Amino acid sequence: MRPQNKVLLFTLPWLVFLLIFWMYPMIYSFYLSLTDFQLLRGSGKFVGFSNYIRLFQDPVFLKSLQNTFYFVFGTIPITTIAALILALFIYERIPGHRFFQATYFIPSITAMVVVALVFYNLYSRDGYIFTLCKLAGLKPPQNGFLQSEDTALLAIMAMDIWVAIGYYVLIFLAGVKSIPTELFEAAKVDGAGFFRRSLHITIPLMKSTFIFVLVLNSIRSFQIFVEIFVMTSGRPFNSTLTTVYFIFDKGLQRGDIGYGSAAAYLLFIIILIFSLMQFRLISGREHSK
Amino acid sequence: MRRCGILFLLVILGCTQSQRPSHVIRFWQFWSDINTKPVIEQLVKEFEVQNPGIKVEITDLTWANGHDKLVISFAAKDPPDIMELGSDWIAEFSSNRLLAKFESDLPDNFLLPAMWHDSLYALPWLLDTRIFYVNVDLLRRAKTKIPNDWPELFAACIKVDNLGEDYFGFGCNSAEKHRLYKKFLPFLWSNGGDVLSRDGKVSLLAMPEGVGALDFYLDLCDCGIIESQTRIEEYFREGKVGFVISGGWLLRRLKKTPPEFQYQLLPVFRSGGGTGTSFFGGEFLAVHAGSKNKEMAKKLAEFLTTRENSQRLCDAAGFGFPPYDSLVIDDADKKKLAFQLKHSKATLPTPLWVDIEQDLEDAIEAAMYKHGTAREVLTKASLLIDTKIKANLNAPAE
Repeated sequence: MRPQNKVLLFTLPWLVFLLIFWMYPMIYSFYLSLTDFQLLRGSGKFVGFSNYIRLFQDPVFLKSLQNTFYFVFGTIPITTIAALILALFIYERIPGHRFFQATYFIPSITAMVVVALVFYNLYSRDGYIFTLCKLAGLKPPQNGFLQSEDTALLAIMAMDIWVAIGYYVLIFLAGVKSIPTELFEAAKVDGAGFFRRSLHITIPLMKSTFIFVLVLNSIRSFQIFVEIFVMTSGRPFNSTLTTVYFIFDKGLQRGDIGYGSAAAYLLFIIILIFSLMQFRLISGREHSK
Repeated sequence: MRRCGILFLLVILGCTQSQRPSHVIRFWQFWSDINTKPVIEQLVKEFEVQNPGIKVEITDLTWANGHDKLVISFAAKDPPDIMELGSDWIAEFSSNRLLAKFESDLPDNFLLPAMWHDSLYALPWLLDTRIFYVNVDLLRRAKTKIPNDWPELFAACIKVDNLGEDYFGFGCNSAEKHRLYKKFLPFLWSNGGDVLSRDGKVSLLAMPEGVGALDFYLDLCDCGIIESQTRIEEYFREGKVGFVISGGWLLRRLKKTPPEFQYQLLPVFRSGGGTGTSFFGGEFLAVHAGSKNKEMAKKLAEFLTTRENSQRLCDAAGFGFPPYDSLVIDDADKKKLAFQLKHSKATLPTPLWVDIEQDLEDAIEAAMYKHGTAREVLTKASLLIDTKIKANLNAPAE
């Protein structure tokens, strides 16, 4: 057998899987987004791009987009920077690094539903966080953090940062360890401390890791759903409604699968553009150097 | 030896063949806790014994996503033969001609949620209503008495709320889907208002009765705590809330509290006093119109909804009533619930209910979070609902 055929043969199971469970649903959902398909009716007629036009006129969808962007831009920088600092702490064996090494990954391996339920209680009026705020002399929202429009999304973002950091620490740690140790040793001989080594060696040499973390983190943040589903269902007053929850609500709960598919495709395009921009931004800087 | 082996194999296969059920009925239902699941299994077993050749396959659903799973199963053209439906969901399915018709001589009021175009599409299985629960001890400490009308209720809530920052007059539901409207409807109906006109073609929410009811509900929220249903009930059991509106399941939990905890059930009253109208909902059994085992599935639905079998489910669940009149009840609190059930009604069956419900809940939520007055939010909701009704009426029949 020719080598190309062998490759094809061995990748065939995955290709079949990809076509049936990945490509077909993607193409079919695009077709659905151009129809007024209702789940219970089981049929729909072609409506062109009217679902997409409707989306831009729907204040609830626009609110969900706004919340999603707020979530993405609010969490990604903090998660990325905190994960990088923790990874450097662990790599440089700074005092206390063993504690971080032992604990940082625990939130990431805990089921999100469990985490969300725990935080739901922590944020409630008689929860620990509420009580701690009161003890510290702060004035937490009267009915708890998740019942206030001003704090509900922020509370979920804070929880999400806590959950996500561990995973990105692991990726950054792998990135740091791939840098030749001779560079660090040479810098040490030249008298460079932890900050200078990080600034001039570690961070510049981890460009691909940064891209990976940013893209992964962006996709994950744009697709936030479980936290919202468990903790608020998009409430109060749509202040925590994210785009994926909007898609779930319209498409599955209300059976308006055409409209839901259009929203899903729009989100897909946004994530695609966002990821390409990140690639460009980081690659562009590299080229200009 | 070899022949003997083949003969033995054939005998075994023959036996297996004869024991294979001729019909398998797929039954999707929501009772999965340790108290109710064994009762469901036992009832199904009894049905199978009475009907040899029928095997019932039970699949458990959860309230979190059961509705979605049912919708998807219909979309995938693979729904169960028989399914448990919440009372508000039936019209959504029956209006799409997905459910089989039934006949029943049960009380008309209990059948209303399952009616569509003068036909019955599901059988009531277990019904429950909403009633006030009062913390008598808190009222005593606040030096106030059990209220009889809305002004007295409001005054009592303020006094309880003034007991300290850990005490709340009223347990006000946060904007929880499918729950918030059930807490508001008793006020709306007891104030003479309604969501829709009798023919279901016009929204009545913005009428003075509706605005008055929402204004009063907001007043109660201002001297209470806004939280999820589960947490409100926890707060009530911890003795922190003066009044909550809840169903029979709270009574089951309260029976387990220490005897020092003094509570009382109080039927919903009208604004000026006198018996009001509460919300009733419940579990219904429906059969897929296209099921190959339609008649047997209907037979199972009829078997499960007999007075005796419904009662067995209610006993196991610890709440709810069979959908029959003249029930024998010993417990004083349950008698109050049964009284309230008689003075309750269901929402008008309409395929648009899921949307109408959301518009109503959005309106209540908007007013709770000060995004408009009761009149403004209900006027907006009415306009939205009227638009949807008109669009639905003008939609060409499939």
